[in-house]
Amino acid sequence: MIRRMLPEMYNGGTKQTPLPTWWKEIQEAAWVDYERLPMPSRKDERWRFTDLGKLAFTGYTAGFPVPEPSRTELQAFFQRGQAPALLFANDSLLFSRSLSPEAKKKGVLLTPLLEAANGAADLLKSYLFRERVALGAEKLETLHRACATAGALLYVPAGVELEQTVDLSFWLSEENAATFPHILVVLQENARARIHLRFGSTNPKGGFACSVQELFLGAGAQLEIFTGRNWAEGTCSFDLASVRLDRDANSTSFQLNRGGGYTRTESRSRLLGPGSRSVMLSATMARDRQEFDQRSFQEHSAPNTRSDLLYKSALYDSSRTIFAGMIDVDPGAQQTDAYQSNRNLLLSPDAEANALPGLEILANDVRCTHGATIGQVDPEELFYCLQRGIPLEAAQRLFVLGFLTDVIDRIPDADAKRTLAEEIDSSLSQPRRP
Amino acid sequence: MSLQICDLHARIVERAILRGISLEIRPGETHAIMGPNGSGKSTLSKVLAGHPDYEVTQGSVVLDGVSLLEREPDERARMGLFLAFQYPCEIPGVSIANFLRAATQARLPEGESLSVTDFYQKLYHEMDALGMQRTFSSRPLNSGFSGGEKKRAEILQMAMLQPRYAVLDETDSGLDIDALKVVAGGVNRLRGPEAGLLIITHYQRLLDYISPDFVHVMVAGRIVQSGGPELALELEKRGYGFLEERYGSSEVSPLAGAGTPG
Repeated sequence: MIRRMLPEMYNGGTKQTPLPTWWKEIQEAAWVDYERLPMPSRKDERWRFTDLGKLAFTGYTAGFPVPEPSRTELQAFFQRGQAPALLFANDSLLFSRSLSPEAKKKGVLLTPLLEAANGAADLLKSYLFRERVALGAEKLETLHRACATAGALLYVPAGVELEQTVDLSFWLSEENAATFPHILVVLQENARARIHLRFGSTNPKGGFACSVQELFLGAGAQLEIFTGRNWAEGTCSFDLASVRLDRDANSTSFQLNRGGGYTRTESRSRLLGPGSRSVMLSATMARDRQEFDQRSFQEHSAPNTRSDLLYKSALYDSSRTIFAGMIDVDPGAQQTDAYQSNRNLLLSPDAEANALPGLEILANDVRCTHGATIGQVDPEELFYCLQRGIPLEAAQRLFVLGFLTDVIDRIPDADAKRTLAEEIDSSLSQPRRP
Repeated sequence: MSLQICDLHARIVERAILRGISLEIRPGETHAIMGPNGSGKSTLSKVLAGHPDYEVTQGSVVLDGVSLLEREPDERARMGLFLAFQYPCEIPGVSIANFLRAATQARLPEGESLSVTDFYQKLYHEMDALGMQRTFSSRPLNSGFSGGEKKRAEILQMAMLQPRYAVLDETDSGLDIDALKVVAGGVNRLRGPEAGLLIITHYQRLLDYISPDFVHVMVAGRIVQSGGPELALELEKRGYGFLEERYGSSEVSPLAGAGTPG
């Protein structure tokens, strides 16, 4: 189903380090699981509403060499940044920029997984492939485990605040290329970090991506992670993320979704320590025949935990979105404060939004609210904009910007907020791929 | 050059509301339309602007020689027609500044982009003139605004977009006397040889601050009387009752079926 090219076939890429035995064993076990697990099915509640016809697993090759024009394009993109960064294309590491000497001195580690397998083997071994997101895409998760070698480990020791944002990006350059990015973040007690994660294509059409994020937050640790997805038209992608929060840890995740063909995100927040908090935000701009299939799980396992989810989607053309969320409160998780909201703005009569908010509460002293809305532009508001001379397309852009404003406003960091607002604005000004 | 309304009939669903309006507004002129509730004053403003709920069944509107009625609302606006709404919409999450930038950008020739510096210079200049705090421009348009703030925001938009012809639909309603003076001041700043104004009002009091050149009285979808500013004063004294008695029903009106000369 997915072929892998041998590292020897790399065309000027970095030479692959051989995998350690323990990792190979994980891969082999994963292949067995992969063969055993069923394909996604409409009968499975966790695939309800998904257009399974858009899922395509065959005909892709992992480890595809990156051709020169794409390499040059990515280099130009990379050189615009200044943050510590790793850039992968078709699963090979193309460019990297290291942490500041101060951060290194404090013991912060940012390294490709394959290097970590040698230099930080014990650390890697105790965290890699430990989490299971398991919101339906188990088959894909095992496929990822069987194939993933590209990716990054970010480790921040106790009490250290990493001031620089870390940029991680993963690209596809071929219609028939596959990528399996893995993002492993370990923040020790009271550590702080901010990550900008980007998924994109240099080719105009097609590709396959299956990424996993494993985020471990120690007591009092704080993480902000922004994920920008903008795969080429027709790309089939899965991004499965789990964040584990110990006592008083605090995580904010923000996803900006556009592009692609079928995009499935599974996001699990595991509030395992008392006082921990997770904010889950998403802004999606769906166009053409794109489908965004978002599943979430807010797992309250300890008392005094808070989770706050706000997913908003603007749908153009014949696009589709699916949101299925669950707030799960354990019997012991008293004083849980959980919120889940999904809002959809339909800009076309052919667009379709599906929302399945959900709660399962086994504690008795909690505050949980959830809700979903699917609405259209108010005709009076549209007339008001038109009367000011604003053409229909520009008016819709204003409505989408206005609609997404409150998600963006929830981002605590002012710079990140401005960058995201600009990114949304520019992607709306150029509705077709830049 | 004028905004020429000729024998305009319009209806909403099956109910005829405008029954033959004729009126010509030339640049430099200020016209006031007064009339009782339900006489069709607001409908006239919406029909001119191209609101999709209304259907024009007869007549024509020509703006500076170009026929208006077959054009989309945004085209009409870019041709120079502005409507200050009686009930301005809230546009959640869109700041006044961003909204006006989009409207200003839409008026530039294709391919030309707006100078942000010039835009803000002009915006702050107009805001200062209207006695508005500059921070007001970053508030979402009309969201949570008081009645007075909404009307001021309408006047600010009018000042920024500099229309050839502006229709002000009951801009005075819900305003206290201070807000009324500010709004009237803003309207008077737009007046000049280049701009034609049509002020729709129920009460005479706005006309104390914006003195019109012509006053028209509308009853049951028709202009039944036209005159100078003295007509407004007479209406204030006598009320609309006597006119409604005389012209209230289309069946008895002597003007039924015929346009009234503006």
